[in-house]
Amino acid sequence: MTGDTKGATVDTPEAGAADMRGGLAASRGTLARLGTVLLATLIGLVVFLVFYLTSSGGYVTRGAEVMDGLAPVLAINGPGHGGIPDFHRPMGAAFGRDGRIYVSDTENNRIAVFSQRGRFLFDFGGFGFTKPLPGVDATWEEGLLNSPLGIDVDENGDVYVADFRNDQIQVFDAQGNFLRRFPDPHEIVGRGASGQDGTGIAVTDVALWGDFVYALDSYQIVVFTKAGQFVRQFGRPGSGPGEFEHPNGIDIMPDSTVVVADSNNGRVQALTLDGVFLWETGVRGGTEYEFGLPRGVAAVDDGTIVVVDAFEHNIVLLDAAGNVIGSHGMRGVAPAQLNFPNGVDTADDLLLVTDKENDRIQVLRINP
Amino acid sequence: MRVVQIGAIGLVAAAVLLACETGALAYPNPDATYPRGVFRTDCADCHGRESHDTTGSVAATRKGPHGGYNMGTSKCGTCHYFHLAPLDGFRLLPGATIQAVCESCHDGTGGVGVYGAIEARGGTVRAAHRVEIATVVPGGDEGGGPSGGVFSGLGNTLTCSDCHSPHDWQTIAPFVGDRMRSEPTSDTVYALATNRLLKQRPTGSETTVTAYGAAWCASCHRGRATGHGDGSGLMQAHPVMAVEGEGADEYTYDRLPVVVGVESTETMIGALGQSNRGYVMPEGADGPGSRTPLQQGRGPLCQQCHEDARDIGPSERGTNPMLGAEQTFAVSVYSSPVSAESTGNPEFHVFPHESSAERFLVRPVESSHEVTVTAGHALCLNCHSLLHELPEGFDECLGCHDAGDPIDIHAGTVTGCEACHLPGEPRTAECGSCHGTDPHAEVDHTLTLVPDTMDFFTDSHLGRPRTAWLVDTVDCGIGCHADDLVTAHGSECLTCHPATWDTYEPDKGCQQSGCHVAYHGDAFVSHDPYASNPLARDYCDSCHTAGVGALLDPGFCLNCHVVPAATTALASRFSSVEATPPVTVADVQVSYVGPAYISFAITVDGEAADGRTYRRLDGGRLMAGPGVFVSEPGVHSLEFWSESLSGVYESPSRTATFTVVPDTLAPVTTSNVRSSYEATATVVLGPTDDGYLGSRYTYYRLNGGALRYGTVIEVPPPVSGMETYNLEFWSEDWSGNVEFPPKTVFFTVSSGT
Repeated sequence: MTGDTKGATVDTPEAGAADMRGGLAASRGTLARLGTVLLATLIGLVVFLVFYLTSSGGYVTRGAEVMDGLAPVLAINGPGHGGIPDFHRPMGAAFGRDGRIYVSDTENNRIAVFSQRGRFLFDFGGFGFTKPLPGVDATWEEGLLNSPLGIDVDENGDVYVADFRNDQIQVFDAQGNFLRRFPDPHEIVGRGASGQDGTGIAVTDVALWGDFVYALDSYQIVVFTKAGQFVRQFGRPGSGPGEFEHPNGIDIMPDSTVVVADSNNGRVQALTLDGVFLWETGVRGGTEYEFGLPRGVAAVDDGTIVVVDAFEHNIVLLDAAGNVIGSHGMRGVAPAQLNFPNGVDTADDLLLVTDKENDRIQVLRINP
Repeated sequence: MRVVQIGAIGLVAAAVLLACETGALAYPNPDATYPRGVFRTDCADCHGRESHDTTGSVAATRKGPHGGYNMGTSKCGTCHYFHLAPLDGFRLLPGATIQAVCESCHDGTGGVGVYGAIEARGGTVRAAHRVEIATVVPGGDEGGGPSGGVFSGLGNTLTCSDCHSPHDWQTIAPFVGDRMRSEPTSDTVYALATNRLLKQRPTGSETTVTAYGAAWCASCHRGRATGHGDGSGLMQAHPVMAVEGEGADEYTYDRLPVVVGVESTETMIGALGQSNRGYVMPEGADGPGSRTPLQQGRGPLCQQCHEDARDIGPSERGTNPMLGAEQTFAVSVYSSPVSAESTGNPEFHVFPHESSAERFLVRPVESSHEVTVTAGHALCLNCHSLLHELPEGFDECLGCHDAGDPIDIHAGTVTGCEACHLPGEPRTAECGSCHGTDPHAEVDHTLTLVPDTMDFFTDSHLGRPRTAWLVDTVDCGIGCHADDLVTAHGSECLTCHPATWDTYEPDKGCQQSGCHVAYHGDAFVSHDPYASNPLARDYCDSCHTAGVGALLDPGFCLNCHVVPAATTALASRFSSVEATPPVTVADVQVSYVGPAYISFAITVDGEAADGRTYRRLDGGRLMAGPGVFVSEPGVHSLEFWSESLSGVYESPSRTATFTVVPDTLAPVTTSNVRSSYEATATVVLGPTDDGYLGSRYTYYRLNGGALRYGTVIEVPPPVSGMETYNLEFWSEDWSGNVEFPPKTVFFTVSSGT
């Protein structure tokens, strides 16, 4: 998902919790010396911490039990605030510049933003459609979404959202203010794409690379500038090299290799930035891992590629050449278990996974 | 060394680039609007894989998680939990409901979604098969009225698996539908035949239907088979699939009269899908109201009036001789690109899940006052011209309504066919607004709407329950207890189950001290090795080869389940009185070269039957399944017996002895390649092997490109000129013997123009 936040230092939730515990111990020492006044202060601090944690949207409460090589760090079920709904089938997520977590809450048609500790900050979006049925007026206004899927954040903190059923990409600033959208969902893109009525693109995921946006269409990759100008497109329907069948995940490795979860072909493909086929993994007849339904994909700075297999409910790790070097995860509802996971992003050694059918996102760490 | 590596990588990349630049991988017309002219054959060709293919027919098994199961399949685990199923789920599924499980994958990102597409475009869902809400089948009664159904969803509601078999079990024949017309790949040459996993016998059906068409719909909507009579539908006694005489061939979705072409008055046998030609009816040679020879004596298929909302095209049939207009016939939409005609195609291809049109009609009836007959938007006029004889008694109307034409005199108030043919409460009320009290009191204009009908077809699926625990009556009626438990216990499920959400974890009191000591033994014990029941350990090795862990090979499902007959087997066990034991026949032979695959066939009273076959190979652990794969060389003994669907075991068991001889010879692959081709080149590879199962894989590379496998290679012609290809191929058998060195052939393909 992200190509621009790699290498960013993330103040992990565990570190934050350790800091809090240290603070608590220190306060107790002070309490012995300063008496009841500081006791009141301590109580206030404890109350604050409890409130802080419980309002975070869902810290893991069952400890750090490792599940098939995945250690739970954080789970978020939604904002957890009053009338704001929790997640409903979130399908995309990305780390932001400062460790913020952006969640594409697909069936709620919004983007929810959390701190690196999982505390809900704000959300933006709302439902609006660009392509109405005959006789119906479009309701789309700037910033409204219709089944948002993949999401990515650039070095400026701008958020790029695959607005799937609106056949467009929308760009927001870090605070969720609408900046622009592209392509025009009512115009034919390049030599054509899979948007409704043949206009726009049926975009499932986006990946940023320099000044360019790589977007997945149903059977191809479409490249735009960040400003939204069409650059080129490559790929076609099929199962051969450089061909796609409803891909759902794209990311770009530090060496500029484009990695695509070619979902309905059950494989991962790697291509150059210009679309030249490099390798594929998961192809029958070889010795590689056989994917069930690869959907999310994310590249790590060290060349590792993280693939989310929705059918196998696990995380598959590939090396830079596409060789499978590990797979972790198991189905379930407990922390670090997955239930039709969909999207993934990485920062340091943390994985941000949308655990779709558990209606949550999880931050995990590989711990084989 | 690093330089060499980089150079090698560069050469490989260059080779790949060159391969990609060849005509073999290019579009037929690179300048064509993306991506028309692309053929796809079957979703299964791309979607899903099977690593334990023992049949040698790879394509047949590549159905994703839906079917194509073999021994050792890993597909079960895609959908079914084993020990970790949620407490509020059922059938060891991960979602709260079956619909939730289905929509986990069928969410629109993999192609076409099922529910939700209309609302996502701001439309209103006016008709829907309301899964996990509806319990009533409109027209389900023989007499045409509604009938109650006991379906597979929570609270006996209709759900996905009532019509679809997720295991591709006893499904109908593939047909060419309309679904893909909403995709940009669609065009008139795009033929995608799938069975959509539709069952031959949907839940509640009393008949088996093997082809999609009116008969399939009528297997549940029984009362619609011969008409929409008794007022339950708007089409009074409209015939559906009425056939004159006996023995006449039945028309189906894939085989019915369709208009030959634009403005044609002839029909030919074709498929309803992929065009609008089957939704209109030309005039026969005998003039207005007549039929073409292919249509004589038949009514329409259900789908000819009920499918996705679409514009059939300006038929311009809505003329009346009294209006003096000429009648013409034209179909203008069917051959046009879908993307250019946003209203000229089925809109979202979600039929029969939901529709933006009332009653799933392909276009409006004349119930809307805004729709005029002359605009051609009249469902009736797809088939019926107004150039018909005036009905008997109509002359009397003319005595009062001297304007002569009911359409004309009621223009703006009551228009179209409904003026005469669809008398109903709304219309008589409107009559009264102009005519005062009903002037035709002796005429029954009352249309009785059946209330329960609206329970099935109403606004949308909003509000459907998503959590199992909202339902008081748990799903014990599903699968196992379709008949007896509900009757025997009056649905007092809570007697045994401690909570309403507890569908698979009863307190076992009924087993330990009650009546049913053994009924749930296989289900609960096998799936719950951690239970306190001491018998549990006896079953562990059914799935776990070494110890009990959290994970197991999903392929072991078939140790116990004859997929997908298991549910049927369990259901039948409780109600059938059949006592005839099954007989198992194994196609075992004395000796095999290379691995052997022995399949079992079950008969009951001399007829083929379903059931579960158990086996022990060489006295080993108990396994179950329709066959056994044996690769270890040596002499083997096989003991096997079966259990019928009624739960009757075959006794004594049967035995067989056979020998597996090592296969040391690699396969040999030949080809029928010619030196040159005009237009598309089709090369067929023919592997032979001395092993019993023959060759397993045949691999090939075209121009040094990507490694593929298969035995038929089609190379499209270049856009112009001639291209030269080298084809490298070899095979591997079931013992792992690889043909070496690979064979290489050369050929050319010219454009043919």
